[in-house]
Amino acid sequence: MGSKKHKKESKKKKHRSRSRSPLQNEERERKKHRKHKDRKRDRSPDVEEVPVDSHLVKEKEATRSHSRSSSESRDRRARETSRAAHDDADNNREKSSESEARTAERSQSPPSTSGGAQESLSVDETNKLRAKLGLKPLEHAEKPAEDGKIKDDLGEFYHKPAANISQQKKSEKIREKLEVRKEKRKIEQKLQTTLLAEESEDDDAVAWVQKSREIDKQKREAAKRAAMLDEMDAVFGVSELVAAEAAQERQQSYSRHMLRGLRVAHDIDAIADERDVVLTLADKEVLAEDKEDVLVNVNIVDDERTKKNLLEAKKAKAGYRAYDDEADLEAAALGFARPVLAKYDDEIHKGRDDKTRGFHIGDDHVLEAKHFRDLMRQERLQGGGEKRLESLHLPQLRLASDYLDEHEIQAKFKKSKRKGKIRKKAKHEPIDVDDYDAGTAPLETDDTDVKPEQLSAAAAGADSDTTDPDTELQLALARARRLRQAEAARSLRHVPKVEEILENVKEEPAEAEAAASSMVLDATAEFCRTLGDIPTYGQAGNRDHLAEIMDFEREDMEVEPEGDSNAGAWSRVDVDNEKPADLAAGSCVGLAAEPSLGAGVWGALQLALSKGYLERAGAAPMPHSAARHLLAARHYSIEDKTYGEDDKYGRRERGGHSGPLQDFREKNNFRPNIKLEYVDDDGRPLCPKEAFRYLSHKFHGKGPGKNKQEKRIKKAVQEGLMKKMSSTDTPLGTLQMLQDKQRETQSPYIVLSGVKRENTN
Amino acid sequence: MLEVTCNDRLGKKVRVKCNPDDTVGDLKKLIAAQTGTRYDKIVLKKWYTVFKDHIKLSDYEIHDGMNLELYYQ
Repeated sequence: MGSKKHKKESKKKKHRSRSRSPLQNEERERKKHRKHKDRKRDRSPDVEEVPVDSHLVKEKEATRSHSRSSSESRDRRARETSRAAHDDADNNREKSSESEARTAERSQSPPSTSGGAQESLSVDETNKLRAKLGLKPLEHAEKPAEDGKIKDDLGEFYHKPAANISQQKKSEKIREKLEVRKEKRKIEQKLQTTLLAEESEDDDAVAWVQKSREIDKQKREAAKRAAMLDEMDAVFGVSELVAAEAAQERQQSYSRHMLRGLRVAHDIDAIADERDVVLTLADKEVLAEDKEDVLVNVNIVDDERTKKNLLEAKKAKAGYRAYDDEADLEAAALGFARPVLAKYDDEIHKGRDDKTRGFHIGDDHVLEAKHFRDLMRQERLQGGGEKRLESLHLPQLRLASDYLDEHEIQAKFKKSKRKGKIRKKAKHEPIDVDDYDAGTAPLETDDTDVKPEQLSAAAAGADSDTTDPDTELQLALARARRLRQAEAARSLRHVPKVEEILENVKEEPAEAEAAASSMVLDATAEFCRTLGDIPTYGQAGNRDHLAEIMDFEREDMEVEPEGDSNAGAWSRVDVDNEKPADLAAGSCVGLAAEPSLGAGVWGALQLALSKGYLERAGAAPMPHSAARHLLAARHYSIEDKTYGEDDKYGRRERGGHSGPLQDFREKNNFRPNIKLEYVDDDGRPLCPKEAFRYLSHKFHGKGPGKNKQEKRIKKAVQEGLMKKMSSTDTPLGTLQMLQDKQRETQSPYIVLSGVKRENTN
Repeated sequence: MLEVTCNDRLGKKVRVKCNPDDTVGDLKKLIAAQTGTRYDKIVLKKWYTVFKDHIKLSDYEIHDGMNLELYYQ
């Protein structure tokens, strides 16, 4: 970089050289020779040291130039000033040759801290400059205090230097390491014992052998001593004594016979046959009164407890059980009592029976009882006695299939007979189904011939039947048979030909067939029916009520058996009992003949009655409004009727020339006398405010509160009282009393002293 | 002793060594000696603060290594 700058400078120099004096040129010549030297020097790191007196030089030059010629071009001076710094450097170089010592000085100057393009004087140079300017020399930078304290900027206070964290860490690490070492050393010292291997190393195998031999020897000696002692015991008879004692102990020990009568707290079933069961004495309270010892087996106790818990859990769970458990069912099948509402079976003091539970050891009859019970059960299971056991196991549930399977196809069902009262159609005869099935009943074709023998037999049967006790079935059968007889008799009398049958068929109109046992509803009848709504109809008593149901098919009465007296037999519809209406009586079905006037006053009255001109005194009340309301169409209005046309035509007509046809004339004389008065439920007139409240309550459908109502009532009462109150006297009538008193005492005054009054009285 | 950098941002940048108890005027003279401008034409600024001649650097709290703006009037 420095070299570059030099190039620039050299250019400038060239440029300047044109305008400079020959003296300067000479100087430049000299400098050219020195150039290489300069460059070399410039390459050194301490570049661009501006000589201290550069500006002085410049000043000198300036003065020189001034003195030389003021006429020298101004532009040049301007250039000079603008490039003062560069010129300084230039000048410096120019002068450098003059002072060798200066170069030495420069080399000594401390290197500038920044390598940038700025100029900085060394301290010495600055001091010189300052001396020239009349300033005191630069204060020498104080060295930081030896104790590491640093003075602050103002030089007043010492600051404690910040602790070096890395150093601290390092020292801490070292300290830790040292401590660990220390600890280790301590532990090692503690544990420093001579190890076996180390010890044995120097002792060798020989020593070990010797040691073991010694131990062996000691053992043998001990055994010998023991034998000697035994011998001595035998000599003195100690062993015999000991043996006798042991035998005695054994004899006194707990044996089998001691267990006799001891209670075992388990069922005998619970203890499996031919297996060893360890029984222990059950725990009991220290202060228990009964001292009986009870034997239990821990496992069995556990089992029993779990069983009990399970049961209880089940009970607690089963609030409602639609179906019984399988266990319950089985129990029922075996003849045990089935618990009803088992959840209430819990005994309150269940533990009490524990005392009697179980069996006593040596009690043989318990075993026997068990055996016997087993036997009984076996017997019952095998169906002994008159009892029959049925399993209540249901067939397994299966998914229902949409199709019949083989078994179902093959299965045939017997149709169940219909029993009870059957409302029969008015057929010719009731025929028992059983007879059909048996083949005894005759088919109803007319061409079946019945033989007289058969008939007689049937008759005989019938006779015999009548003597039978009256059961329903038999009665019915009898009747059927009788009917059959009659039919048979008729057919006997006259066996019809095919033609006749056909004729018969023709003769009977289809209608008649259909009308059998049903009402005919033709137009006339309907009309008559509606006539029945005439309010006066029937009131005159001239209508026969039965007439309405008169057109029923007549039954052929021969077929009709004895009658209703047989309540138990096939009952028939009442319709059949209806007497045939005599059609001759009236020409029309619904309307009776009008009574003739000609029959005198009675006739006239009758007519009047029938027409409704008169009312019979004791007549039933007219079918009145209640029933009427029910009958009348609910959603019917007059507007509905006219809706269509009115809308269509009326509007269209008016469309062209709408407006009133008449002039509107004001009614001048119309003075309506309107008095809007509102009255509450009690009939009391209301003021507008009250009226509004009342209406508002009505409108909203929500009455005033209880308190409000009470208040208002109170107010009304008070108002009434106020009205009643006399205007001259107080409510208590004090004035009246006063006047009375005055009259009594005949004085214009009254003494108002209570004390005196007592005295006077 | 402290060293202040003055930059006119037109090509002149000088580092001047001075004392904290020098006045701004003294500093200007030093700068003028280094740059070749007349000291009475120099204006020293820091932001919008124009340093006055008769006041010490320490009073302006001018410390070592600070940058001052160099203007000419």
